[in-house]
Amino acid sequence: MSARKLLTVAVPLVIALVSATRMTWAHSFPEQENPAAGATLAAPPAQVTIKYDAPIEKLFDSLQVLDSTGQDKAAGSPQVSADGYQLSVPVAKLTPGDYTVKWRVVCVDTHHTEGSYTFTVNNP
Amino acid sequence: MNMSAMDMTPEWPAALLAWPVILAQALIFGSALFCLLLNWSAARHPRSGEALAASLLGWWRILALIVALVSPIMFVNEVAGMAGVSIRAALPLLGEVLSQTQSGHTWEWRLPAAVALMVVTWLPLREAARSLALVILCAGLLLLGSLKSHAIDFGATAVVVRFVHALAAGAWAGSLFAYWVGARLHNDDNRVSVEAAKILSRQAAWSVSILIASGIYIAYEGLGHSLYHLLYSSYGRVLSIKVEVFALVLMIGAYNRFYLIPALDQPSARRTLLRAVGAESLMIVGVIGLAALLSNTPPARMSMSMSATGVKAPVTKLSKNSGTQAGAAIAQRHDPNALHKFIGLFTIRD
Repeated sequence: MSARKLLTVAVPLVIALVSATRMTWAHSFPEQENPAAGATLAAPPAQVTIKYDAPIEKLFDSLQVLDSTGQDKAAGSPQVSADGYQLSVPVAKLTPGDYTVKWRVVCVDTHHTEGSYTFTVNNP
Repeated sequence: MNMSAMDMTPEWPAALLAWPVILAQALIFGSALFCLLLNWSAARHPRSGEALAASLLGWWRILALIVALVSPIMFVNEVAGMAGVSIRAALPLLGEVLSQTQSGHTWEWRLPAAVALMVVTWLPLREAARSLALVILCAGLLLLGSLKSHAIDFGATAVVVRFVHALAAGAWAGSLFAYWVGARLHNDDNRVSVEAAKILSRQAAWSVSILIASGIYIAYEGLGHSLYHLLYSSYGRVLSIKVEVFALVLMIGAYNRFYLIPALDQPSARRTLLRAVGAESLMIVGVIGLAALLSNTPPARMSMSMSATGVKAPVTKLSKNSGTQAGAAIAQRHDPNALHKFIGLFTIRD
């Protein structure tokens, strides 16, 4: 194959592939949390939701909302949204104080990630 | 905006298990394809492809056995990684993973395909039919591998590109391997050897072009669209080594293509070509090993918390399943005009 032929094939292919790129990241990492990381809330939330930047599997996920004594305040098991991007759990009525959200998910590429963040509920 | 990368280490056990399987699939795919091409193009030397396929049969049986034996171990190891448990504790979870996860669905096809690959190498078939069956089965296995790779996080385009990349790598590695085996066994037949070298050269040129184009895309995605990560992430460093070794292989290939193949009428050139192809093949084994490592290294990414509000600096801790590295992201909203500007700062601890 001549160099000219190679260039004729390779250059448009590279341009096409790079321009088709979507701005997404590999593995599943939180894109948005609700309540937000570090938020101070005037009223307790009914549920905690984390939106990820890549779809997650329904198996092996966990989402805990721990109070200052380490007690899990989740009022049910974590649910994955139909599109696979969101993990949420209902929580019992939270009293004023600091809470730690601990999560663990498995991305569809089979690798798992985990992490935690805090938020605060104030006296109304 | 000040950001630094959260770095995570490769998963060595998974990479070491994947290496022989990927290598075996690539070699079978490319060598069987080479036999078919040799059969179709060598009209003046009918059945030369079938003769080469017969010479490769012993190798194919060994390679297919590796795929069939190691694939189930890969699956169990993968389930253990997903669940964060030991290999033994993962065994009761296999059925659940097979039926309820995307990865499991690919394994539902992959495990029988691995067995079928081994069966085809033992069936009493015409060599051309066997070659075709091996090409199809290996292509299927490579596609299933792409469907559970990092590419799945990036969407269908990335999966297709990764599949094409794997096919091109297999075509290149396998054709070199087949030529090396064939030339060693049939070096008395100069005409067939010259014909095979020309096919090898053409196949290598196409494969390398596709590898470079698709490799740029995959690297661009894997690096999180930032060349910074090429230097400052595990993924980037493994990728750099892979590209460097690939460049060396490419130099040997270019020497073969432009200096040795035009002089194939001389026996000394054929001998030198055989040695060069042997060296090239060995280096490709290394490149495929690095590819296996890369596919088990979390891609680099820039990350920052996107949800900072209030007076208290929010903290998000992220960690990988190895538990050896963790990053803490601190982000703070600064813009009073509701324009969201965030400062992300990751600290890496060993």
